[in-house]
Amino acid sequence: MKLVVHRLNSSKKPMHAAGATLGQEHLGPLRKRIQNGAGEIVIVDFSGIESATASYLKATIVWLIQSARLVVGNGVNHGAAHGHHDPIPLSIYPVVAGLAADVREELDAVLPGFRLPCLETLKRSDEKIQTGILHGPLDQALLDTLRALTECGSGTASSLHQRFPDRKISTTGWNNRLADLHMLRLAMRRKEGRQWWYESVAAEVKNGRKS
Amino acid sequence: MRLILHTSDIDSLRSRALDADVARFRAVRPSGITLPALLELVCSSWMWSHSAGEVFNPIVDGWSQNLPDLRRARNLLATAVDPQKKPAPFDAPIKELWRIKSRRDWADDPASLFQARFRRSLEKHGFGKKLSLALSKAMQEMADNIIQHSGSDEEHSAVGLVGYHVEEHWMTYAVADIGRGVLATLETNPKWSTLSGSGDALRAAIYQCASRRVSSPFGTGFSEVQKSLADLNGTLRFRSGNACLTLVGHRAARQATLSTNPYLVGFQLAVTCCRAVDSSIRALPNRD
Repeated sequence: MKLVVHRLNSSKKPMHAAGATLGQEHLGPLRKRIQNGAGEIVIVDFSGIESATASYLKATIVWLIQSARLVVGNGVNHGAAHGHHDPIPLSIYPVVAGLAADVREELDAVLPGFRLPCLETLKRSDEKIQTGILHGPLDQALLDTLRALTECGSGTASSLHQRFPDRKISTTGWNNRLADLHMLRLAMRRKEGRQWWYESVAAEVKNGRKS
Repeated sequence: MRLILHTSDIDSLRSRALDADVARFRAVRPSGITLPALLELVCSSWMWSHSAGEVFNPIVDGWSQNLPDLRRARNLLATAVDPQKKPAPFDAPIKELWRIKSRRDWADDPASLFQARFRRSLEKHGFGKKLSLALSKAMQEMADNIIQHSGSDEEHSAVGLVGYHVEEHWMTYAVADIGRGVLATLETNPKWSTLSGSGDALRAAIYQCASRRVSSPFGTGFSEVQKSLADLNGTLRFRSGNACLTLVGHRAARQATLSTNPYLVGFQLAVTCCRAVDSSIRALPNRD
């Protein structure tokens, strides 16, 4: 499947991005494009943005991740009526690219508040992310699972159980961890027979987390 | 003697107007008005144009004759008509006012040029590149609240004004709207539905990063303001409903005062700071 790439700052001039409204406007065209998403990897390109405030990031990448998590039915808890800019279920896997140092720093500050991890692409082709950096918080057990999955390329709970017997994790344990990675939009999955087949969003994941 | 109107004068006028006791204000002939006072005055004038304005607004009409800024701001808020010549896109004026009524007013190119002029003006008046950027981003965040929170939703915001005034090593920016106010905004989030009043709501928004968004655990705009001021001496004034929260001084040592004053629609805030070399607040006799 082809990667969907969306550049937030469509102008040629570099800019400092502040405020939720600007973020919502920048995200508008992508929102239309992915409303009927079918499990695409969506690369949100921050090229041309020299710095960004937390509100801008919340209205862009955080909104996308929250929306993607709603598809799994285990995402953000919505108690009140939905506004036009509240997260909506989107079947996508959002990642970021083109981060300037200041934007990366702000992203690292924002993600822990939402307990969300996020991948940044380092190297990619038209169809695949070869190398990604992980930002935001991720439980050590899930990080180990993500490493195991990237080591295998792809797999099921049973295949990981067989591949890593020394880890003393049951098939159910692997299954739960893989499902969590999918819920966090770090691993894609498809049903094959009675099993879920998982694949990491990035073929190789480096740890860039500060938290 | 030059008489400059401050926010305390506007509070006092509003309070006296409620008792129809404004005789002393009729004799006042101000020669200037600070930006924070200006925005609170035009919001008050707008509110009282709908009721009880027969006492308040004749005073403001009289002052408007002497104060072109006041005349202009009232027009701008009420009608969006601004006869004043616009600054050149890449100019760096010492003061400017901007009206926000819709998303486009704050997200399109003309608004980004306004934001850049503020940044440029700060740089030109000794704030340095990094600090100028931080202050202008904080101002953008605060003005963005008009779109995001003043109305029933982001597509139906109330009208608001944002302005700045910069001089050598000194600046103030202010944002004001005539929307539903901080208390009503936060009350739409079940987490904050038990706030006891506007003072509580201001405290929650500023100290606890309260947000009306259910999908967001915390708001970040006010933190951006605090962060931007870093170690600068500053005065931050937030008012909504019948409450006013003022923070004065350095970062962690900023002294907070919560007071009550006559009800005013919407939310008004002002940030004033100076880069004083002696680390004390420079005397600012004519400004808030």
